Amino acid sequence: MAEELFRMEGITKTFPGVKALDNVSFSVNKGEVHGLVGENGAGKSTLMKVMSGVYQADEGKIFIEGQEVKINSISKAHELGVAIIFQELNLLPHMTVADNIFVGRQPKVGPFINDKKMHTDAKKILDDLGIKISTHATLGTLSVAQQQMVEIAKAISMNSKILVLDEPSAALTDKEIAQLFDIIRTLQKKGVGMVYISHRMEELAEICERVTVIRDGQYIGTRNYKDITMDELVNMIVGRSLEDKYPKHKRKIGEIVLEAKNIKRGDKVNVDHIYVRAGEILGIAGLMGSGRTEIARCLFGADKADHKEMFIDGKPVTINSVGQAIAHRIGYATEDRKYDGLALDLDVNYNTNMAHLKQLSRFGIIDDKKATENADKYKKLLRTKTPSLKQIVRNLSGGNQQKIVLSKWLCNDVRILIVDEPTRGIDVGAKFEVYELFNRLSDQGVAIIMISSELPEILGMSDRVLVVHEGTINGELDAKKTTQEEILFLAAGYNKLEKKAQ
Amino acid sequence: MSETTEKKPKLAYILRFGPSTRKAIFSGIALILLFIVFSVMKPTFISSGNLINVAQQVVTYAILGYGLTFCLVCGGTDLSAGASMALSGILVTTLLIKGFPIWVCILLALAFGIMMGIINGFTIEVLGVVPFIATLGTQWVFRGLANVLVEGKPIYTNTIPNKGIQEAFYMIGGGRLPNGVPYSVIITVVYGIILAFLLAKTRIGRQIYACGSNLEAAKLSGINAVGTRMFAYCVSGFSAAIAGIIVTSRISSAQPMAGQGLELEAIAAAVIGGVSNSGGQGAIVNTIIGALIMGVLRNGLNLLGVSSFWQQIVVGIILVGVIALDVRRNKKAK
Repeated sequence: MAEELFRMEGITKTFPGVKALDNVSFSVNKGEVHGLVGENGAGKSTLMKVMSGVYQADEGKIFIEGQEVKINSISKAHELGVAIIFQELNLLPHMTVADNIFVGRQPKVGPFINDKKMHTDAKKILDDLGIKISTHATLGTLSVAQQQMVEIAKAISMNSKILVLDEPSAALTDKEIAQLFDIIRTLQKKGVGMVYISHRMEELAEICERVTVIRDGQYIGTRNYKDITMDELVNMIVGRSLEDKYPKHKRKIGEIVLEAKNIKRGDKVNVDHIYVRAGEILGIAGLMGSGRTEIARCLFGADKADHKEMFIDGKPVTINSVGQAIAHRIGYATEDRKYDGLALDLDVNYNTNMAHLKQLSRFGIIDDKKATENADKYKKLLRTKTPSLKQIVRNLSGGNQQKIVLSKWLCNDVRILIVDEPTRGIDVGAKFEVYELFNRLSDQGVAIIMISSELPEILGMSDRVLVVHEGTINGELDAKKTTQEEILFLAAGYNKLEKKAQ
Repeated sequence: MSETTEKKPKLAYILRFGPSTRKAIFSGIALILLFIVFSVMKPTFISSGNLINVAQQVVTYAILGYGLTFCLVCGGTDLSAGASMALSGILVTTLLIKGFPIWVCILLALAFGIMMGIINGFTIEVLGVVPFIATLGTQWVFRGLANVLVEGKPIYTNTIPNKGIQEAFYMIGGGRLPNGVPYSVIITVVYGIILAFLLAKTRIGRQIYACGSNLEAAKLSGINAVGTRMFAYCVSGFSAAIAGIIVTSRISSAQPMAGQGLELEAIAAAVIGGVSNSGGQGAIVNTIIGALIMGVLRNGLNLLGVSSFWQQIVVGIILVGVIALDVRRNKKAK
């Protein structure tokens, strides 16, 4: 019954100085969703790039339906029916959905594009996949999830038999993920084989039949998802056993450190009351775009609030600029480290010390020795893997980049740390380290406000949970007693629970 | 935890001019090759007389280039530098002719340079005009002002009433040490070292890199981005004023049309030396090497009898070629 569609054998790929893949084998059956997991930098992307013709393997063989093939370019891969949906979508935002699906292959009448046929064909493909998007819509106006669906439709229109989905759910809400899964199941029925790369174990459990693990460029093993426990899988991924995804910890919660009342900013933020205590982790849940980040930016002084009253240790304070927030020892690790967290083309030293320049300088002159020592101290403290402090941050993996963002604030001796999606796009091992770090910080009395879309993370790490809906706080929950369902209920705007006064 | 702090020899600290010194090595090798080629093809190239010629040409590229490096590294550009240079030259000469003491005239001209930087910074940071357009506009304003002040005609330093001042002023750009090294070269080197230090070793320097590499991240790290970028434009204005004074002194006249297009050559010099035109990367050492390449190239081609039209073509191809190579290298690195 399991008819093999695609197989790679003994794939080895070497880059100058690194063996990115070492004798890796991998196969996909007809109608199968095959999970591919591994830490960042394990070689998943390289393997998929070999599969889709971006890179050529140094050694190894590739078979499609039993025939040996050479995939030496992306167009060759398309010809053979292999398509990859990258994390960053390759679409044309100013053109219509139909144009995007058929770009370069539009049906023609003489030299002209047959618009009518193109839209009919596009509609047929979308309908087949159960995607409800108008073919006339301008792509840029669609949500990320919808754009992704268009990208999938485009791949299908090219008669792809094998589809690689590289972290397709990274930017999607739970509801959108469910829609994506519907599409994936439709494709399965059509016999399309899929490779599904993700860091989210819950998703893999739901959608994948088999899962293959690679670590440090080596093939670790392929298992049936049904026959493997989460612990075994995590063990395969990180190469050591993790007792639990979230380190157990007893917190000593102290006095209220930061308190804010009546925060208002346009129609985006309208928060009556929010506070966080020393040694506490306050989880902030909510759908994307619900105003979680906007609240954080107001607290941090990055956006000017129309109105807000802030108190630190019970004393009223003014925080209208990032500088003032830093002076009050508040730190903010942003949601998107590449966009506004790191200077990617500068080195580890420059990035670590970016918010710490005042303390490092006398009469405006930087003490280079102190700067190096500081960067080195936090590199070691957070176990950041980098060849040197002069390494350009762009070249580091997501987990290590995130550690540098955190270093930037830790070296300022923060008392209040706001972290926005602290583990997005980082691997299991690095996640665990970040959680351990948060626990250590809370031991030291640091108050942490943690915004996250990953509900297990919110439940696993927080003491209290605030659920944000349309810029307001729609409920406060005790993380030990609540459930994912309860959080989702509040995040969706329902509010049948009593709001606690304090 | 930190018992094995990275031990670095002191020299490494001093030589570390900031990010992207690696590119300086590539352009440095290119410069040496160029030097060897011209020396072999035209032995007069390495005569001391000619080298001084080259040096004087390099001075203007380098000093304007320094200022532009600050602007480029912090993610901007300054197209008004050439016009600022002309205007400062006119200003200093006018003041000297009016009979003010020489140091007063120079200080006023330099202060005016900073003022022009503030005007650029204000246009960009407060009015919110993108650097390219803002400084294109101020370029015309400054150039126009220079023309208005002297009614479009050059003014000559031999009309300075005091002969002593006339000679003293000439020494800045035209004077030499007994061994033949022009004072202007010494000014360029000393000023270059100061700026290199400023960019690589100071707080404002690191802020400039941060703003140029990722403005949002810099702001969210508590860096005063407006002040930082304003400072970069002031360095550019100040540098243009120094260049204006030196050139005026050397040619004994202030020309309202001096330095036309020179800002573009200075940008080219900086970029050829390895300063990134999209911000966050580059150091003064890159600019110096770039200015030397431009100067050596122009002079060498002149000696070989290549017409200035062909020179333009060569410089254009080299500029594009350098960037194309760089793009390739970056792609490979990814």
